[in-house]
Amino acid sequence: MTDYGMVIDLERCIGCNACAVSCSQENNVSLDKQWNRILTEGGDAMDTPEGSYPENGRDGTLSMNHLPLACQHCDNAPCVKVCPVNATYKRDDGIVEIDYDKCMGCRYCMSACPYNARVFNFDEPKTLPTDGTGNVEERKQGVVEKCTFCSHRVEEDLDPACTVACPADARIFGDLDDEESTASRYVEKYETEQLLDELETDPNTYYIRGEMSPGRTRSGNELEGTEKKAVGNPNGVATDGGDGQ
Amino acid sequence: MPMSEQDGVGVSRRSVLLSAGAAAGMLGLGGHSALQSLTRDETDAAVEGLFDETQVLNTACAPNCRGKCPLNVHVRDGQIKFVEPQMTDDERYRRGCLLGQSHVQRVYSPKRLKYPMVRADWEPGAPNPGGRGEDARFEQVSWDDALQYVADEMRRVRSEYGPESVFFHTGSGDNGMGTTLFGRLASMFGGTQQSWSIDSNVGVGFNRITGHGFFLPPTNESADWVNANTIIVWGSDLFKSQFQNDASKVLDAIESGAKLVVVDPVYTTTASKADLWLPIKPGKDTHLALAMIHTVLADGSYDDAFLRERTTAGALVRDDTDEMLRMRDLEGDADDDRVVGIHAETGEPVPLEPDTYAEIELFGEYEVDGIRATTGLSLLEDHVADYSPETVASVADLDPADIKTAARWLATRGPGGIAPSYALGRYKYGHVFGQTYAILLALTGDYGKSGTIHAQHPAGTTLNSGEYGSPDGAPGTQSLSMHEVPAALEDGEPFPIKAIYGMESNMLANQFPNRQRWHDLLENVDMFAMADFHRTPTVQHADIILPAAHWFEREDITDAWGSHPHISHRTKAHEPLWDARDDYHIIAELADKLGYDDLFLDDKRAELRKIASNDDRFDFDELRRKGNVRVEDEAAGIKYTDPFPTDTGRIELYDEDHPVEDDGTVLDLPRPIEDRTATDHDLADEYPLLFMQKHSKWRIHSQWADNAMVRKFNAEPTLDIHPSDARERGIDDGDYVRVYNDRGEVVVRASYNEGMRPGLINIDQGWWTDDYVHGSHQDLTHMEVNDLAPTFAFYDVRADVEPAPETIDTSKYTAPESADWLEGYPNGGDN
Ligand code: SF4
Ligand code: SF4
Ligand code: SF4
Repeated sequence: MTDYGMVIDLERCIGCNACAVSCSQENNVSLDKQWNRILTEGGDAMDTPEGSYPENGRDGTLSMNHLPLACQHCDNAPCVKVCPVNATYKRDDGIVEIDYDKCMGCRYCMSACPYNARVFNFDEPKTLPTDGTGNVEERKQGVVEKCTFCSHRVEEDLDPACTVACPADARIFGDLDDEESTASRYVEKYETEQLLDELETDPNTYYIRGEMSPGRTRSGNELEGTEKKAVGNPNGVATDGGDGQ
Repeated sequence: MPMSEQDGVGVSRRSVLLSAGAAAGMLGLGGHSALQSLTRDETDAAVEGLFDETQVLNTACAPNCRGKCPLNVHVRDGQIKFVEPQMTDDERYRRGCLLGQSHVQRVYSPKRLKYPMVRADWEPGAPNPGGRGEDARFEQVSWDDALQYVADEMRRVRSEYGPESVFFHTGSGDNGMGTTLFGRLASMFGGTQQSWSIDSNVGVGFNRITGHGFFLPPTNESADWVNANTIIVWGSDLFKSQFQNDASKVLDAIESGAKLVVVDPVYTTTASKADLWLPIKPGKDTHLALAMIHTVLADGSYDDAFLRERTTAGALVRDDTDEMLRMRDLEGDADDDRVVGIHAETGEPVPLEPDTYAEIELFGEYEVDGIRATTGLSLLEDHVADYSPETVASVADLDPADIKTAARWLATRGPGGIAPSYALGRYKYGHVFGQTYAILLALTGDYGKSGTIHAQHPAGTTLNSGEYGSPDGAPGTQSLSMHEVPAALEDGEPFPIKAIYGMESNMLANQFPNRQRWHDLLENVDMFAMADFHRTPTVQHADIILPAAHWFEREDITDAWGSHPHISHRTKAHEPLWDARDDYHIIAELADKLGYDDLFLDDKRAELRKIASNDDRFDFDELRRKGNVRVEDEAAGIKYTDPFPTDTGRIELYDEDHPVEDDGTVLDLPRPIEDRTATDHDLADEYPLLFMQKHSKWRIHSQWADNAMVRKFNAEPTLDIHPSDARERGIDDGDYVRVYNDRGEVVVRASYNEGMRPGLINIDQGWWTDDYVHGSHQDLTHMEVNDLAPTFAFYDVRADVEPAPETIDTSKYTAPESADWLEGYPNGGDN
């Protein structure tokens, strides 16, 4: 079996929002919605700390961290349980997905999701260009949507857009059922956290906190179990300098 | 593609009616979710990829952030849909930030320029410069007419005033071949080009000691940074700006045990990752570096072998002349200008050769042939006696133990270094910091090794274009530094500037300090043409508007100066929208009209091939195929392995040239000089707050300011202020405030930030004038420059803050329906 999951190293994450933007672009997310949000653990405003500024260089209590948050692809997903029409379901490969044809917009799932991972197309989606962005169709008004782990990419053996976009190598995507996958090895080796684990939702997203893990571009990283994915497009990049357009 | 179809590409204003204010809230970045009432509509199918219909092409982003990121662009139905980092030839350098991945919204920005336009009240011979500015109206003209106006005016100005009175102005907006092509025309015509008065401050000071640096000095390529044991990031939020594309390199260094020290008055994202954060008072950086030198000398932890082999630490300085003792001063050859040290065993004077170990004394006073002299290192040691960690800690508001820890980590943990940003050079006398840390790194021996670091941007690679920029028979150009341009405009000194053609720049009306003054200065110009792809405040200020292609709409070559060792290729993803044109074709047609019909080939690709043929490190066809090619570059890899390009071939700790600054300070050894940051500055009482404008992750200079994806996250300019400074002034979080000083004012929303040092305020740089409800942050800045490394001191600014007057209209952000930053201009090419 396959059980897709993600490891996010919070020690490596620099809160740069590259993944957030890439997600929105690839998934054709409306300009007033966001599936993948980079929360600031700190002050009220984005990228600000909490605590007090040091005096004479010392005794400050400032602290700030970033927490990328999207659908956690829970194994025991409350959203799946409450959906009256089974529009939200857990796929065999671990991805929680929404059948937009079935979704009737009741938004029970939104109240059920403890991670605030879902958004509702209250209005017509707004994108620039208006025909949409990225590599999936736009969802219509009146349905709920959220992170799909870029299932359309994963099916083509590509990493999710956020993972490709991350300049900090903070994200690893892979098969948690495969003990040899890079993702599994990271979960095995590092102290990880599943958010709100007291709710027993059993997310497929694991956060590393405390000790930094090595980046995937580093040569000789003994945790490499999965070959790095190609980037681009399953059909490849034009290699004629665009002459064949 | 016919125009109607182009319009169909769909940048309708209706489509983007998104409230700026609401957007940020709706994202729920604070974790709230706003439930909204339900409406029903028919729905779409489940997730299905569209890859089969999508073509992927190579291109590159290069707005002078230093990333120079090779990217893949996905094109479907003739439209750009998605952008992601391209795999690089050397895989360690795959890169890209949120901005590179938001080009989709740049290409289809409602602020794209569509047609050539001429200001309605401008005509040749009657320029009516008073009509320029925010209220100027424009009329659409043909390309032929627009370029004929430009050519005629250039020729008229050349014959009336001389060729140098035509200013070929470029900024740093695009690291493609544009500047190279433009330089070729400028050279043929004989016009003036600009040299830099921005960012050439710290590097110039560093250069006095090492012979390297103008902009920040060279540093090892970023893939080597993992080998650093101590990284002192000085005045830089490098995880947020300029370096975030290489973040993995610093993180890998940390993961393998390096200490990260951050020197910054602001608690930044980078500071949040640091082992040690030094929350320094602004303007005290030179003091701190001197205290670190003090520590290294007091501890005796300097690298004595390095000092003997590669520096003038042991070279004697004559007590009588304050110049270095030379072999010719002794009974030697009159031409022998080698400097002299005292051999530790024999006590005899010996000449010091570049990069040659000599067993010499590092400290002491000696008498040689009746000449009394002292080693450079002893002079330095005496000099820094005034800058003990304890003394500096009280000046810089730091803890002395932390200063010592930072110095000890650097000195004792093996190769490491200091990565300053350009921020330090945005204080007036930043070059003295450059001088100081160059010396500090010499003491710790951190040059020429794997793991040593000297700046926050590696040298990367530059395309070798040979003589392309100076074709046969070209008279060449004059050069004016940016800070010299005002006198040329106003007083005709050293020559008048009467016509300007600008491209890839938003400097003249938006980014240069003291904005209002530039608007006045520009009134002296008869013709101001701007080529750009979107309607910046500078474009709005021009007489003739030339709509250029976005980078993705043209074939091009980009190199990676200040970045990584690859040359990249740009494929044309589609034709330029509307009536826009590749800068190449604009410049080539202008050249034609100026009578240089053979200067450029009709076929741009053939011209690119011609330029590329000057560089034998890569093949143009291979580049087109692969998208990017790692080139072997002497400049890449480990820096400072050769003799230093100084008189002695060594790092010269003592500067016998005795440079003197405008206030009389002599800089034979580094002496801190402060302008407005000084607590006793004349303006300190009236304007108690120091104002800076840091680089954010949301823009590169003023680029992306009109980008819908970016504005989703960063909707409006704000003033970062410590709550204590705000409360003292009766300002609540989110209030609109007036930031003002003796030059001007700007109104923005206050944003409480506990990480701001009390007494320091910030508005992120790059916002366009139109994004403010009133004024601009560049209305607060001034153009005073130092003598030795004249550069604009963007952060050396004082101001105060008060609640904004009720009369200011803030509706563009507070009234939910309006989203000014997504709307077209009334005459933005729609007419
Ligand atoms: S995070 Fe929320 S939306 Fe995602 S699976 Fe869990 S409960 Fe469902
Ligand atoms: S791209 Fe990576 S570093 Fe940046 S916010 Fe996302 S997870 Fe964090
Ligand atoms: S803005 Fe700079 S760092 Fe970001 S993608 Fe473009 S070149 Fe790279």
